[in-house]
Amino acid sequence: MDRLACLLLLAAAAFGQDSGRLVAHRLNRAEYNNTIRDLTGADLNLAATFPADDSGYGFDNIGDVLTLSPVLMERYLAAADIVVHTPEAHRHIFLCGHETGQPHQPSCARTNLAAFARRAYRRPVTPTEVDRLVRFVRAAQRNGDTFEQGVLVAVKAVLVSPQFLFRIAEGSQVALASRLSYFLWSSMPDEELLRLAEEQRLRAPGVLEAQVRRMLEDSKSRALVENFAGQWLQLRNLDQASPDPKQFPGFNRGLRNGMRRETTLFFEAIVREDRSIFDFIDADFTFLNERLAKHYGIDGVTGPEFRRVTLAGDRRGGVLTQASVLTVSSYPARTSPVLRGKFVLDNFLNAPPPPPPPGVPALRESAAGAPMPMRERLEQHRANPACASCHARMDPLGFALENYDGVGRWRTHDGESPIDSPGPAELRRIIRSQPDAFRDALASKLLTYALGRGLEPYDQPAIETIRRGLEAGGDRFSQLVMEIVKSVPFQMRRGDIE
Amino acid sequence: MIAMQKHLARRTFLRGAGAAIGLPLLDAMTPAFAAPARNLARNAPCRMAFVYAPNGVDMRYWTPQEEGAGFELPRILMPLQPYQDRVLVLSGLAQNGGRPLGDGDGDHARAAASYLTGVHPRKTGGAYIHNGPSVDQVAAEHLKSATPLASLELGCEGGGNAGFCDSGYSCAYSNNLSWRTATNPMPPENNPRLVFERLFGGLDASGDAAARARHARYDRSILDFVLEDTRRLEARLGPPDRRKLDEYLYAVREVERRIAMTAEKARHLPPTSLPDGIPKDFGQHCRLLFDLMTLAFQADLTRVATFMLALEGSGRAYREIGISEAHHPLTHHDNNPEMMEKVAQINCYHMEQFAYFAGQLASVRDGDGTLLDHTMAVYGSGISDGNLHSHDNLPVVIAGRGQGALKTGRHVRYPKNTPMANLYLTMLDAMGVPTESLGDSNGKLEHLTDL
Repeated sequence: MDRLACLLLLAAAAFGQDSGRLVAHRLNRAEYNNTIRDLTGADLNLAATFPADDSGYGFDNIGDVLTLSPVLMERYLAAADIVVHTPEAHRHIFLCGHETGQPHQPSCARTNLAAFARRAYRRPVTPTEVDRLVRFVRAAQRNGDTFEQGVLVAVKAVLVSPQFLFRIAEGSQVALASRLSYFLWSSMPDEELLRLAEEQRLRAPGVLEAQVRRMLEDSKSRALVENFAGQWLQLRNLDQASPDPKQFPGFNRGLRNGMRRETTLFFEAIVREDRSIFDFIDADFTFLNERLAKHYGIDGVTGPEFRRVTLAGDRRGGVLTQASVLTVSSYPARTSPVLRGKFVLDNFLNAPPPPPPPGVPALRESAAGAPMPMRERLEQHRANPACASCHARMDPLGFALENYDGVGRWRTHDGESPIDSPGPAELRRIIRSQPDAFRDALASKLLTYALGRGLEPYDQPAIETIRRGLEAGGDRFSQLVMEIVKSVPFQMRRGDIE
Repeated sequence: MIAMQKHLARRTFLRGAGAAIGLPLLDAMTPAFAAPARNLARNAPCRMAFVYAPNGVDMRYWTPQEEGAGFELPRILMPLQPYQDRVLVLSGLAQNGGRPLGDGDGDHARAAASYLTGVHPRKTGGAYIHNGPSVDQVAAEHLKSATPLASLELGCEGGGNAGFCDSGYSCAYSNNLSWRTATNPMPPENNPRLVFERLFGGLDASGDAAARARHARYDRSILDFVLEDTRRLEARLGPPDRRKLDEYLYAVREVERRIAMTAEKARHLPPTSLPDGIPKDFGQHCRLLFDLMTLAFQADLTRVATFMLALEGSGRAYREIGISEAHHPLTHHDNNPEMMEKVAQINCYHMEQFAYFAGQLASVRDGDGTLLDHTMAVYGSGISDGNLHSHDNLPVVIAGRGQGALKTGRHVRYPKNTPMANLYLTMLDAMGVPTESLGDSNGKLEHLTDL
């Protein structure tokens, strides 16, 4: 495949269609935290002090959007300072020298720093690079500081170097290893992966597949849930969701956390059990504790621990009927069929609604308690032919979820008015009747996330290949990941051709 | 900042102090900076600040009926009443860059992005982000050699949300006011404690001076090392990556400059108390950040600051004033009086926060007057009518006399569609940063000093 993909890429480049312009990709906050954890063994959550990463295309790992400011640079220095003063980190830094209790050899600075820099830069390091780092040790010793202090100054330099803070895709195999590990783990490659890449064995038959499987099975693939699912399903917005306490007096931190936990466990189950991606739409199980089961009106679940629960009936099943998604797609004081309809179109049917036609003011929704029911107001709006085409697609999807209130409880009435909704079964039917639309939707989101860039028209063939492979592989989640990893845009980036 | 030992010392110092002293931030810190203010004598520098309110305001309650001096303050401006003689209300200014100009939806993203740049931002979800340098950053670049920080960016609403911001625009546009270059936004900080540590962490002169000096020396050698790394990388990478590395280089040089300057400014700081996290109450959060902005001006740590009360398009529910509905959807009120009233209440609440800032500036002695006399603090939004997303006749009020550059206590009306950027050129003049053009400016704004 290498030759063909390479030819395709060169052709694309010749026509100004490069499968990814950027080579230097700044680590975002989650990636920084995980990388520090895996590099030093110290799980310090230091990026909590960094300014928020802006997102693009729905994700916060988009290379173009990840900029750098003086504030961030100051925080990098402060964070590096904390790392080098953390005892756990010393165990990962000092392979030899006093801290290991072994006699101090002159070559020890090199040994420590070469190993650390290789892992931090996620690639082989040159002797010249190591020389430059060793100079810090000598300088420290000249100043009367200890050997260890000198090594730590050098380590701090590594941690604020662009070679560490940016993923720099140079060298085909090590770049691929980093792409893979930041995709599946939001972190650096581990020793096995890095060594395979350094030995140019990553593209040998079967190796990449085995690595993907191993990485998905590793607990670090939880990052895919936190960072991909957290953004695809907007779980991260739960923290800011503020349902009206008057209408939703039961909404508190416990329920909020429970909502997030349900969807997290559910997504994890799909990854771990390698289930069909169509379970996202329709599944006969979920994860509940007593609080959330009560919220759903489901009996027989007691205690604060979450456990797998088999669902009966069609009120619950799939992420679109989970309280987390239903809450983040509502306004604080009411539901919004438009927001929910748009959510489904965007994330499940690969058909983001086009913006309203020029000259048409944005859709106005009625205030809570305003005399005209939502449905009538929307119908009035849809009477305008310019708005109708879009709302004809968007609204039925949102209305199908009207039986869930602003925090995802089942309801038959909205205030005094009875709910007139086709119900969640109809929504599932609509989505399942367009399986390719859902495959494309999930593939596009996951590919965007995997590449850290927006998709371009020239990525369309890749999406089609992924979709076909996914279907042929029984729509299993691991198949989707594998197809993405094998895709031309993931395999080849400009930095690979040197 | 930077030094681990200092960092920890600072944390302990702050935590310990929390129990010990309950003085308001400004009062507690003022003595430490009283001396340099005296030294400045009559040559107090001019400062500029921009405070942004999202989703527009109800102009019926904003625009004064009368022009010139002696106008009656409308409802939303009422909190500024104690300082009416030191504010200037400007009507008729527009931000053309916020308009669709063929790009369709996305007025909120464009409103924030164009607000201080006067530029129509490129519509993109991420690739090839392009806006323009903002007025504050133009000033910061010229004035930075005098202060440890080139500029300060603050805000009450955190970014980092999942999903999309505004119709096909990257969140970088709706979440940032300050743009150092067309491609490099300066993100606002939300956490008062972190801002405090940034402002004063490196300034604390207590503890072991020799250890501090050694640490600073190591940091400088580390920064030299990474500059060299960057140069090596730049030689190998293409233009888009060089842009990323330029951001990195700029940031490193700023930190270097800062290390050198804080050594000169270090002094013994009094203990003060700050909450650990971000206050839940909007007003309390705003006031703390405005205190810090005032302190930064007072101690001459920077002369340029921006402040986003909330991100553009914000859906915050202001429960503090009894409003449960999200702000943004409320502004699409379709002339529903109940919703319009709630929007007006939010507009007033935002203005109360700004009035607090004006009050803090007025309370601090600075050279031969107060900070308010030596500051130009613009308050406004990139949208006037939030229901219609209009970008003309924007709400603009400036607090402070800017060292006499502004003849305050007046309401001035300009011809329709006069570019906001013209105001910025005039302000840059007052800051001693004469600038030919900014964004869509087509001249300087007249009548700021007289009629």
